[in-house]
Amino acid sequence: MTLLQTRVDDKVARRFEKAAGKRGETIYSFLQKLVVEAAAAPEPETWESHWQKSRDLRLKPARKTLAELREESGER
Amino acid sequence: MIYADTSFIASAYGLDANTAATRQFIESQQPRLPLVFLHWPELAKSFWTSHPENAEKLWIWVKEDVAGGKKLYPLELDGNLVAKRAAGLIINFCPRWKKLRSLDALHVAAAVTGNFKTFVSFDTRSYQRVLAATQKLKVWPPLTAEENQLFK
Repeated sequence: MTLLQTRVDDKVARRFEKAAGKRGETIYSFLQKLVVEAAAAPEPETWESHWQKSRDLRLKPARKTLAELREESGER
Repeated sequence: MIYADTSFIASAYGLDANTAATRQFIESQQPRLPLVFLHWPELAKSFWTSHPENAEKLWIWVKEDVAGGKKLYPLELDGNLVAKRAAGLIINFCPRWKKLRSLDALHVAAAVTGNFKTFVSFDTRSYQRVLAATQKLKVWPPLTAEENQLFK
């Protein structure tokens, strides 16, 4: 099946058509909406920015590690 | 492929005695770590016990990172299969290691079920890391002398 001039699996195209219909959209307007949303979405975070974000939280050092918490609670 | 015990993920998001080592490992390996059903309750416990004032923020942060998929990703494992494998490990090792915990066996079973090669954990106070080594998983940090004694 051809969806938006792109050859896609029939099942995928039918699902997309159905999803668009449910939202009161045409397949063209629905795709346009998805593209706009995806472009506006922030980039997922990577480990590079992780430590700065962690510093920004100003966490107090934990008294105990998870291993110690496990032991303390006597988890079996 | 790296499986991290909750102790590692808790140290990456929280701040504890293992955070510096965690950072070193992450910077050298840039791992993409799976989050399985076992991690969630333990992370909740860790955040709300160790960082109650920031627990909510840490929780949301982890959820966003799982959805983002670059640092963490959700891994759906068959819970029954993991549990049965964990039971097998306990049957094999519990007579020798009386204090082997079910949770430790479950984490190791999850790593084996997911076909992971490396098992990262800071829980040197249990049999978890030694159990992982018996399953041919490469353990990081390397086993301590005490753990090596148990391994023999």
